[in-house]
Amino acid sequence: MHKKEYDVVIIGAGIGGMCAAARLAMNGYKILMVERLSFLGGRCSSIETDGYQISTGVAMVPEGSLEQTFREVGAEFDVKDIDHNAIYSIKGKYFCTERGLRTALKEFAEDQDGAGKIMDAIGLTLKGELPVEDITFKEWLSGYTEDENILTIFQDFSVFVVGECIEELPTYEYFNTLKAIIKNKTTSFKYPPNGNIGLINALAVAIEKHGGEIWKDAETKKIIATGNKATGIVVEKNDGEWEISARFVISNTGPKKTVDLTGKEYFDDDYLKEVDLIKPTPPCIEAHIVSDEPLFDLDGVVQCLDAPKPFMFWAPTLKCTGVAPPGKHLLVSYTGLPEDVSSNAELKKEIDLHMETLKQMIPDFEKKGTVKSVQCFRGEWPLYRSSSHLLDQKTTIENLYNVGDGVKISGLFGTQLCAETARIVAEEIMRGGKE
Amino acid sequence: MSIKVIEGLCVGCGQCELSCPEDAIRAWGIAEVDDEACTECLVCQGFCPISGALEVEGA
Repeated sequence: MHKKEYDVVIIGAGIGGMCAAARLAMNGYKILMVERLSFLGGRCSSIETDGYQISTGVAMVPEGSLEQTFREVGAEFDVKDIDHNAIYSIKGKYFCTERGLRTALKEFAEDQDGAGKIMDAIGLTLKGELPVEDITFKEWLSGYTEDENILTIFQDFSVFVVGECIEELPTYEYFNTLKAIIKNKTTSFKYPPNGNIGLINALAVAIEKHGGEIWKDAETKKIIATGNKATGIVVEKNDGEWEISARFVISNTGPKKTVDLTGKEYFDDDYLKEVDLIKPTPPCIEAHIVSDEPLFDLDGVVQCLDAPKPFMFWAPTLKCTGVAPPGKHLLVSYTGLPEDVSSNAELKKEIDLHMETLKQMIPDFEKKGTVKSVQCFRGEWPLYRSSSHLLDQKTTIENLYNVGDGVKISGLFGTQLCAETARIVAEEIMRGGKE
Repeated sequence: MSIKVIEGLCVGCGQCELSCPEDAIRAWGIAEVDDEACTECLVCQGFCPISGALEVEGA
């Protein structure tokens, strides 16, 4: 077996792993990042097909932690603003608004009295004048109204942003998310103009510029633990097996896979119970529709409040022509599904319903659009690896850490969460692994 | 040999379809490989995020 030594080895080149790798490489650590797949970025990448850049997951990126990481490691954060943070579509009419919720409720709620009470209660809870009860967000909302239209508005926010339906979302998580959005000013999302791969390549260049090494097509077979300490990994790639010794091991593969790679026997029982409680967000469907002329002319995320399931769409080529061949256009549609869709047959029915909804919501879709791809995110390749269960980035094995969306911090989600977990772990390693 | 999709594992993320140089895969909910068009170049395997979801048969 080949052997090599590093300060830190990072398993998985998702956005969390890459942010950690870049931070540590920049600070002089000798790092190796290994990725099982042929491309970098995981669910925050894009794949080029016939001149279109199709995302592997992430649709838009917020500022905040992710942008800060890019800035700190000297990678260009090339993104474009979106015109409208929120566009609500109701019965064929569109409401563009920067302060979405209040306007949406005014336009769409039947129970205006209930809507007013909810807005007041949200305000008081954010100020800390109302306690956050240990109930689901659906139960919390139902304390103020039974209006289905109001529930739909919150369901859409919950499914699209947090990735969890209101029936499952703990009330504290709704408020922590809202607080974090306000605090970090991540109310506006941005598009990478040439697809996510533009951001990923910029980060990879920064890692290598600072002396970091990246291996693709390299599968981690095992995390080596000696006693209560992680000391390296075993990697398989085209030239054989490698034993990589490292002072620190960072896993971006999700806590469950980290445990599997190491062996259950090395972890505390309480930790294993926590890991078992982590479940991914419910399934979702994303379709990419291509056309010779734009199918929609407002730049922003359109939430269709009268769709049968949480449904939204956006047209990235209105701002970013680099994600399509010259003269071509791209529209992306998205549906978040309920928890109980598990079989492939059920999923296919949901895809049919998604196509029907597209016909209803985008008048020119049938005549002028062609479906380029349909992607599902579920199970081991979900929207987010942890829907609402929280877990520390530090494991119970010394020098072994998790980064990414499987080790959730309350209030944070998506790329923001990945970048933040990477910052926390990189800084702890730079302090010598001590808290 | 041919590429086989393992039904219980494939999540339908479409990355095999997007990466296939021959347009030999369609993944609406679950991947389906067109054996006639497939040249067994194995590019799809390098893009499939689920271990073991795309297997080579008769290799």
